[in-house]
Amino acid sequence: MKKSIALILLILIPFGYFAQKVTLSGYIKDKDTGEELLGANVIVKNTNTGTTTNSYGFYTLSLTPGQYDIVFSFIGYKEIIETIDLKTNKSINISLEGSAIMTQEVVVSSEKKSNVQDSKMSVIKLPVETIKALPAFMGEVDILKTIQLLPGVQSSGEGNSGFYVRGGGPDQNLILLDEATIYNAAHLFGFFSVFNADAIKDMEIYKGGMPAQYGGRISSVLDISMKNGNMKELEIDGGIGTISSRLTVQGPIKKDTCSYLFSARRTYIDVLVKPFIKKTSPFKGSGYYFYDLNAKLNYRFSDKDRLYLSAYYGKDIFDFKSTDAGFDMKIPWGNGMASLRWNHLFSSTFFSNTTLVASDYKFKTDVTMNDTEEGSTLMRFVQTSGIRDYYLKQDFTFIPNPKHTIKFGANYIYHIFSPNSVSAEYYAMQIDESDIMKQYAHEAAIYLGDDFKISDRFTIYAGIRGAIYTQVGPFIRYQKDDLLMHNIDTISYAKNEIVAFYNSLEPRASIKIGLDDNSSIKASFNQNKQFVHLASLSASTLPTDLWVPCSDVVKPQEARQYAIGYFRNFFNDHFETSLEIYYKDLFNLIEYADGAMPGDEVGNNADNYFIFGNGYSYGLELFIKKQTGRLTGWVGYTLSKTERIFEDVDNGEPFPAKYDRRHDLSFTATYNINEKWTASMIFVYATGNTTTLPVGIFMTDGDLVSDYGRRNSYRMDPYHRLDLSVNYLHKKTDKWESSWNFSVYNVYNRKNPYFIYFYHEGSISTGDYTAKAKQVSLFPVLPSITWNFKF
Amino acid sequence: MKTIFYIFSILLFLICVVSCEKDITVDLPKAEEKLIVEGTIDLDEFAMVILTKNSSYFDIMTTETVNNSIIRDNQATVIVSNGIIYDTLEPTSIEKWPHFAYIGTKIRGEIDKEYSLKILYNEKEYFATTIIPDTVGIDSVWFEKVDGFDGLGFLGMNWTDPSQIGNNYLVTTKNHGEQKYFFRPYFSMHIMDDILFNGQIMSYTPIFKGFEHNDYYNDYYDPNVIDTPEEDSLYYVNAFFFKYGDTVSIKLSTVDANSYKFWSSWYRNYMTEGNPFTNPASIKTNIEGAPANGYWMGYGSYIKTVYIVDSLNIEIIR
Repeated sequence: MKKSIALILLILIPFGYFAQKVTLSGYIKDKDTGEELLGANVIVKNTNTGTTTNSYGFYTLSLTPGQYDIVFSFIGYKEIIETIDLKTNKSINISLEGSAIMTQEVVVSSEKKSNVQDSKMSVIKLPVETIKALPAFMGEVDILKTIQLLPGVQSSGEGNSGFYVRGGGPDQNLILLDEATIYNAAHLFGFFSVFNADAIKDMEIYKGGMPAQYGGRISSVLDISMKNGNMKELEIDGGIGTISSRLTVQGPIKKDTCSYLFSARRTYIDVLVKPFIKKTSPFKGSGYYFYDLNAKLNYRFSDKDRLYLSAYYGKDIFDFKSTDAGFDMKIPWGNGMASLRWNHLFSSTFFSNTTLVASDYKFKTDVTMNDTEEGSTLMRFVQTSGIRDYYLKQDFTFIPNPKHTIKFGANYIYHIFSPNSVSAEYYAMQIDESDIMKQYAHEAAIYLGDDFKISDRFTIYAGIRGAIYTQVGPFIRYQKDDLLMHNIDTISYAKNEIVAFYNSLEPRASIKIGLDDNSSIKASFNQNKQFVHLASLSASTLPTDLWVPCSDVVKPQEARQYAIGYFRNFFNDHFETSLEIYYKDLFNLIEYADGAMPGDEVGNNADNYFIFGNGYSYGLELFIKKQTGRLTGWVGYTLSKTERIFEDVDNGEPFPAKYDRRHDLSFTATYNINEKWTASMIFVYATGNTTTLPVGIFMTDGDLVSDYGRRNSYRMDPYHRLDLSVNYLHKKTDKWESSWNFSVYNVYNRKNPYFIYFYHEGSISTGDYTAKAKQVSLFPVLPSITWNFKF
Repeated sequence: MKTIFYIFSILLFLICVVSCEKDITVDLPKAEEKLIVEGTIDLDEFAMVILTKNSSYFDIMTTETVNNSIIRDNQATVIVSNGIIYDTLEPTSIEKWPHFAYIGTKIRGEIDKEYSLKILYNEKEYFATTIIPDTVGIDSVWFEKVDGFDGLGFLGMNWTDPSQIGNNYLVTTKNHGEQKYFFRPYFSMHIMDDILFNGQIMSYTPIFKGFEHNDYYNDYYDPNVIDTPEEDSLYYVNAFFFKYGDTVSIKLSTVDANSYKFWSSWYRNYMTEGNPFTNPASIKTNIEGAPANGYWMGYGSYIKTVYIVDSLNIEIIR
């Protein structure tokens, strides 16, 4: 390790002789809305020198004094070429104009080459417009569903917004919304994601080769940016869909200085159904809905200082009442977050961002059984789980010369976990463990990384991240005997007493070797640790899944990933292709022990029911993308294998992970027929999920019970599906835009397996007693229609 | 409390109003043959061991295949030892399913003694050991009348859990004149540990009537057998409840941790069968040596026999 640190330091020290430089810097924005463009390109014409804007739309480029033709471009926008006489440091803000249909043969080869020339690998960026053009389930544009169409990113099927990146679990993805961590990104038990596409600007996913500024998760980073709000004029966008409606209002408070955005979405199945439920119905008052609110305020003090305040609040409310049975169940869950960010430019080459975040996730089950005659409460059961984080982060970017981009910073998180708090009343008996089950932890990290462009052909990225984690009291540990049956002791920790301490040193590196103008080879290595786990009982991502922190029992999960890839553009850069191979080792993963069920935690710690093990995954990913012309889209294919090794499962023999996929194919296409009509399609094919099924049956004490086969040894039928949609731009003027979207989900009505269950039929006496298997599928062919407007 | 999870699962089904189902053929490997052992040694009693075999999950079951799964006569040799004496159990007919057992003639169960079991079957050897833990006495027994039913009700009992944590209890009942053996009661897990009541007085109620579970022969789950609603309710009433005039023995048996582990995992398996929202629950057996399931369990039993006079009066016979 010492050697590698020395090596990294060596790389990080800028060396060599550089001629005197001057810098060109500024912001690139959308001309109509004043919205900053992230990842826009700034290229010195006819050279390979260039840069992209950062996540705040800021760029900086160091050049020797002289006269340059600078090309400013971004996908979906008309490029601008400025001739700039650069003698001293200069600041130029650029506004790009959107081009609705990218039919023109725009020559932005440098931009399109970023796939080949950037040192980053395993990164895919999608503007929200691309996502919106694709068919959407029930007309709900869904960012998480779209990223599952990328190679190396797998969905676990319908009814599930959890995604799996290169064999890692759904908890191993760092999902950031304006720098705030979102713990549960799903609505309606996973059918929809919490991200309202109208409020989102763009997103970027790192499947590997994570730069050092990202940490705390071991498989991927999904970085989502909210729109800032229109700086020029009031804008109202909205949509009325089959199951939900949404409205976004944005505009300047003070033109070009301060703007706001407010976006809301709500499903209305409950409202639509309400009139049909009779007042006398025993189920009156039952219902389900979710809503989302996004809000953002940003204030530009000057070109040097900006302040952003972002907030998200979303909630699912499920209420089931049966007045006859005296039964009332409420299950609310949701996320809330607020982030305050301050951007400051010390100079055109030294940039700072300070972030303060509070983020909260809560899940609650509240069940009441009433005595219908006496009206008294017979039983009440309240179970809550959740996480609250307070987060402080300081990031710096320093560009000493065009060859180096150095990022460094530090962060601190205070976590409050409630892995499962139970309070119950049963007749006169009361249990209240809501306080003692909480777990408190501090997490802190520092990082340093340098993107070093050695020559036009060689670029090296080296970074290092160090993190510490400590769980502190108050806390009670119930110690169990070998059989995990009985308390043999309880250990009580006082406030702020250290329960567990872990640290982590995470080297990150990648290298790019350019072969020619159109192709390159890249390789990367990264090591990550993560101090939280998601314990999930089922194959589906349910809100009942528990977030549990590292403790004296649970160790941090860890990943080491090696990847190598070949990147090449074809046909004058119209086609962008890549082939990547990865290998990933995973350590200290958790699973629930056999037959564990929620509610086990009464008088116990949730983590006493876990078993621990390791895993590995390897695979090959192919990606072909066409970004320009009338026809755009991509093909992603993944060939992979993911296995787990747990001492307590099948005697330590490797078994396939539940989302082990041999083949995973996605095909998307969008075709601009004319100015009014756009058609698009999605086709997906994936090897079936694995599951554990009973293989034998036997009788004990007169009852038949099942004997299960090896873990995940059965594979369900493959998943495949075709979606189609057309978009009709009904009317477009400067003041008013109206469009219709018609989507058909699962066009050929494929009955994809959701799960399999069993039942018995017949009787022994008639000699036909047998077990039967039934497969449940969720969605048949589903058409939907959405009307979108903007003014 | 675990019911909450089932309710949740069921509701999840309800939400999926658009979901659809189809019958599928699941191509599973043939189950490996396992010996299923149900062996007990009770305080002051001889050991009793019932042996059966498992079947493949999708096998069609007939009376014949069920009969073939029972191991009887000299097909197996079953030996119990207390470390000093060896007792080769005798093949014997019994009056409950599967109507056949191996029963001891030399060793009667004693408190705090360890007992080993050895089975020779089909050229394979199976082993297990158990202990009979110290008994815990029943302090009191009472009868609770159920409203709306004349003379019917359930029992309750108190016992004092020892201060040391780690006691496991198993509750069974026997209706005299009607049943020859102790059986598991309806509607409740008959196994428990003392996590929630260590060192305290445990009030265990309701205790419904124990009954002979028999998935193979009971017809009340079989839709082909049509009963009138009256017949049905009479059946349930008689099957579940105790009534005035019944003489009932309640047995509170202390068992070792392995036995608790078997029964608690057994209940998990039973309750989660077919539920796709849980991890499959394997039944944890203490039988070793070759592929097997089941248990070898020592019972530290304390029995109280009562005569139910009426709702207020209950005579303690023994």
